[in-house]
Amino acid sequence: MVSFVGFPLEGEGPIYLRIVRFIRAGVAAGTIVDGDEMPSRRVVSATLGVNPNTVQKAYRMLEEEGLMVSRSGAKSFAAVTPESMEAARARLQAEEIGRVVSALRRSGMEKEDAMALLSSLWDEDEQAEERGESE
Amino acid sequence: MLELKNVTKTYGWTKALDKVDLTVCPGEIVGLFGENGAGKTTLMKAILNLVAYSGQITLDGEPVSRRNIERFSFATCEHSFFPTLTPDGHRDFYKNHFPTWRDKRFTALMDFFKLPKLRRLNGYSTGQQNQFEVILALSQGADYILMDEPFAGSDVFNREDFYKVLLGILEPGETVILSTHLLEEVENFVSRAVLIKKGAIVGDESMSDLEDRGESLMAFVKRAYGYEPDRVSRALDRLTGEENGEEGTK
Repeated sequence: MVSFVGFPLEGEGPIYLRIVRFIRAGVAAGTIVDGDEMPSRRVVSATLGVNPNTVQKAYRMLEEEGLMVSRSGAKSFAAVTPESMEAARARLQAEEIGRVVSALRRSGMEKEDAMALLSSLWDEDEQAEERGESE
Repeated sequence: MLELKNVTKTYGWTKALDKVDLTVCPGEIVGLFGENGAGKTTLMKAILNLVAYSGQITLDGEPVSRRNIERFSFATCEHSFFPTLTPDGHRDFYKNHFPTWRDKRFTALMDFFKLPKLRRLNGYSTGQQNQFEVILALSQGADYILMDEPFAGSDVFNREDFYKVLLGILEPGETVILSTHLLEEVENFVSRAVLIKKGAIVGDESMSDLEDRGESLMAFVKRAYGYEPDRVSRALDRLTGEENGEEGTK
């Protein structure tokens, strides 16, 4: 059963998108695997303290994205293929970097400077890893 | 479906309700918001036929009367329980009068709030009394559950858990109309926000539309209410008589 225990109570953006992102992250990380049962809409609604419509909206998005299937009963299951796992990962990365990009742009940074910064941080991280330091 | 058409209520010269049109469908969780004296309580009392009004209020096409009043329940901070009865006394009374009484829910909620079962209600604290009032409203077996500032005197943990419990126990056909000042707390809980100002409905939006627009409930309320963002600074200027234009000291 997919658990919502680690769902961050505070966060940015509408809650239905945060639910979608939470599931996507689980899929990308491999903690949610194909065939895992999703908790019912009502249970999620009660666990998170959000209106059932919000959960319904998130579940519908997940279905459209192909990360979830609802069988004729009421039960829903995670649907994960290597492709959808890759897509979820790519999406998460794009979102994360997108947030950094807008923060940098808001702070007035130029594109070249940002790329240079990224590149030097990248190298630093690589070197740190080679030295055996881990974060 | 609950329908209000052109509902007006006056107290002397004051319009407590001003041509209110409102339709509430089964399964909705409606937040009713407005400043003190805006007409939230009067609106609920009009729905329950507790005050005289002009206009029309119908439940599934029928006027609200003794024939269908049991389809409503009402939790009010003015309290409707019997002060000298214990919880069990209430349970017997309600069981006898409401065939739809939800006994399992009553017991579960009593346990959840850890309310003393053997004490009479006049021995409860105000917070406990409010909780018991809400428990009764939820256990009556009504289709439309009206709650007027139900959480006054409850601490934040109880309130937070209460929303969750409520979401877990409400059946799809049960409808809630809830008035509260605690906007941020119920933002994710309600499915719809209705704003009332000087007796008139000045805003009515589904939370899902608000979400899609990226507008928070607080921002929507302030906008619909014509909130003046510079009100605080203007008042301070006037009170302190100091020069304008200082934005913080550091």
